[in-house]
Amino acid sequence: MRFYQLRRLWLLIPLLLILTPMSSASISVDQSPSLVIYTYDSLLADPGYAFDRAFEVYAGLPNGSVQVNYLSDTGTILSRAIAEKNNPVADILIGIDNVLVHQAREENILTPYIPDGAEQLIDGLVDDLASDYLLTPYDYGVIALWYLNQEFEGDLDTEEFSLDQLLTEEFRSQLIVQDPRLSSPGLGFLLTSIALYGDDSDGILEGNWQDFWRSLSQETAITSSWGDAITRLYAEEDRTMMVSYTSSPAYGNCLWEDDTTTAVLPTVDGVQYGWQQIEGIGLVNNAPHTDLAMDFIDWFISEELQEQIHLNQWVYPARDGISAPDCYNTSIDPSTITPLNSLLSPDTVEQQLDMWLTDWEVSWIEGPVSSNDGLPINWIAALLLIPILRRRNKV
Amino acid sequence: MKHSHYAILLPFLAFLGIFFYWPMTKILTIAFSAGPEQILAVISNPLTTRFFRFTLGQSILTVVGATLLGLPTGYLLSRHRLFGDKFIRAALTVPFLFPPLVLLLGFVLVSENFISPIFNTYSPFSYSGIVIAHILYNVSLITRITESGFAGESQGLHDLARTMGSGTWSRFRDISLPQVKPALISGLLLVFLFSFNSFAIVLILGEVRLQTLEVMIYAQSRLRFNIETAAILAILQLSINLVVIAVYTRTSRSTSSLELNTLQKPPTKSLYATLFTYVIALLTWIPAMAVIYYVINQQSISLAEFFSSDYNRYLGTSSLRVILNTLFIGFIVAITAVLLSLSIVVFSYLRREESVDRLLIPLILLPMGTSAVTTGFALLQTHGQFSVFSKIVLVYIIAAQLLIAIPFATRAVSSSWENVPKEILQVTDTMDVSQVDVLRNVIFPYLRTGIFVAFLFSLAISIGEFGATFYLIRGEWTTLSLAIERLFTSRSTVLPNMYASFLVLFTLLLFWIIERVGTLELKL
Repeated sequence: MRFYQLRRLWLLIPLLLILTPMSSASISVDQSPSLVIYTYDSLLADPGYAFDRAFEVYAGLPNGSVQVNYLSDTGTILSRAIAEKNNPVADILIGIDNVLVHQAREENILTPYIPDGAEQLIDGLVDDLASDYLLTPYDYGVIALWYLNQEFEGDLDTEEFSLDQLLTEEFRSQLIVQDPRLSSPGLGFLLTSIALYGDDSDGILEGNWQDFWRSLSQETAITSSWGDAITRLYAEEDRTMMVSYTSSPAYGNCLWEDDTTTAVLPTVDGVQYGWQQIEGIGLVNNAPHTDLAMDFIDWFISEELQEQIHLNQWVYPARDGISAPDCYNTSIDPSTITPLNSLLSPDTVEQQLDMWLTDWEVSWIEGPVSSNDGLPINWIAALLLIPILRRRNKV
Repeated sequence: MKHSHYAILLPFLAFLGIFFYWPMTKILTIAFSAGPEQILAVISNPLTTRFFRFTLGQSILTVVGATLLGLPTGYLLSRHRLFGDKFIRAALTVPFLFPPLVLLLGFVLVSENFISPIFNTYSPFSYSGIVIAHILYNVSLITRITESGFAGESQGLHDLARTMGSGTWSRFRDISLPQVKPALISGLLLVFLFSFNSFAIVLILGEVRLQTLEVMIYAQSRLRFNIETAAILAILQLSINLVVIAVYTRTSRSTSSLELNTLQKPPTKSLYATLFTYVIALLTWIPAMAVIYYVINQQSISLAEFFSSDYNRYLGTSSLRVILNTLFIGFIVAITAVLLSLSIVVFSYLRREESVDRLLIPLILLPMGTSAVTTGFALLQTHGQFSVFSKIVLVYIIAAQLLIAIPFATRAVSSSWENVPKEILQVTDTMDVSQVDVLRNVIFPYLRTGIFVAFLFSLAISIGEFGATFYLIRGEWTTLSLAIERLFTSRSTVLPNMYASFLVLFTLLLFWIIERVGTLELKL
């Protein structure tokens, strides 16, 4: 190729300059949105309810006025909002739960707002999430273990299931958990274990939560998100159980009349325990479009949206009086569950969370890695390099 | 000596000041204002020591593995005529240009479909998986660097040794090895540097158990909001990188040797050398071939998914736009990298500098020692506070990628400056011609090749960049590497392979053009 021919490459640049922004028009991102929302990418996603378009219709706004930025997880929503807190871009954050609320409070990224219709919310949810309405609850679910009945191998009595059973090789080699640093159900399950086992001296069960994780890490698979976990659940023959919600069986049952999955909660002395995850919507401090953001939050707890929660979000709506569809009959009745949240007060969670996550990381890696972290190989490899380096010095 | 000459460097210096020195100063301030107790606590934390050992250990294993495969290959390439000589050289160079995400995806695909069914317990998500992926990535680097090291050997020395009864092995040990050593060591150091700072491969294959310092910096700053801890780890990583780079620049300076009577290759083509090099080339190509094979196999689904809008929510934009973004950012990075590198040459000419080495340390060495994630972290800690940050995040993505591409671009351009015969410049100095004319008519023709290589190499770096872009990305500016990561395991297996295939094809095209205009130097 001659030099002058290569000059044609430069012609690509103006072409790209034109094409790149043009292609964005096709995904209807308005250049000056009236409302900007940060949320996670699975919100109301399956089979899907276009809440942004629905709100535009409700509020009489032109198509594209609501811009939703879907981020991979709640941690990313928080870290972006924290990075922008002096000059906020987003008006609303959706998906911060009753654990991450502390981080949001500490970083002062949200401002309390009591929405119209707040009195319709289920008793207790507001207090358990944020009694000052820093976040308004829009749904709740209970963290459970969810498995494929026909593929699961082992003896599992749903009435008398104990977390201790997970520690057998048979169970833990079929289990998939989520990284609690990244995933909110993953974090919920970590808190379940902390509430149930506690340290050596406390907790409902014998033992301590760090030993529980050390043992699990031997064979249990870990994923960075709930989405990754469900992919592996259906893709890998030998992985048949994952951390999910008590309402997960409803998904297959409602969409395809598939009742071959079951959710199970730990039971101690006949009492079913579960960590209740309450998700909230919050108004960003100094949001650019505060008034519209308030209208959106009001609408988010209205009947119109809340009726979509069961069949698109697969957990329970925060608004009272919305009954679950019949196909939820394969799920554990939430009223029969004793929430573990009362064992770990919000203050304790706030103070200890960072330490718990560090301890969890240590426990998780201490399992198989301690015997296989390549340390002896490292030193052998280092010894191999010494002669090369020494000989070089002599040259 | 005119101080006004420094004005030429002003854009370069301003760029580094705004996008590198200020952010890095901030990271230093955060780290050191934590106080000695906190610094000690972070460094002596069991997680830090464990992951530090891992970071070091896997880098050393990668170096050893890449050398075991790359050194014999480089030796055979330099000593023998092979069947398809040009082809095999190209095939052994390209894998180094493949984006890490392509390699990762292909490696996982091969492991899960071919290796795991045979060795039941094998998982690529393991220590050995990380090391193998790193080795596959770096074999080509060692091969090409040692090949040029071996190529400069003296025919006379070998003849002399042979007449004194010296065998092939002892000649290899006593003549070839000392000859190749400086080149080999700079190769080893580069491989060490790349694996020590590895991000994408370890982030995905290491899960939670195995983390490099790079992954730790990301996790501490982005997932745990422990800014101080992340800053302390970043400084620890930077210090080690700088020591390695300092040794590297010392050794790489001694690699050039002038031997007129270099070793002659035997006239006949060697079958066993051909076989060996083809096997090594095939090994390094397996991941790329796997993704392309996958897409060809799933052709109809691939196209349907590519044009479907189902994934826009996860990508932040459409698949088409992801490709356009990648190219757009790549071209801007490449053009800017060339312009900034050229300013160094113009400065050197105006100041009549023989070599640009004097400028290397502040302009190139420090950015080169700073990892991709640290670059993103530092930019977010400083520029992130401005209200325009999110709106003009594209500028920061480009800046971060530029910081990564600049060492390579300046190397390519400045080495062609060193080819300009300085005697001609002495002659033009005595003539009545303007410096602009000299630059345009005398110097520029010598630089053309360097400029094109710098442009294309920067483009290749930009389209494959992951760490910094991943750290900074917002909304619709997703690039191909990021899109692969986003859809890696969960939502679609077809689309990531499709994106990776596009990256492979584009990299091949770039390489083909580079080979046409000049040669690609796999060093700095």
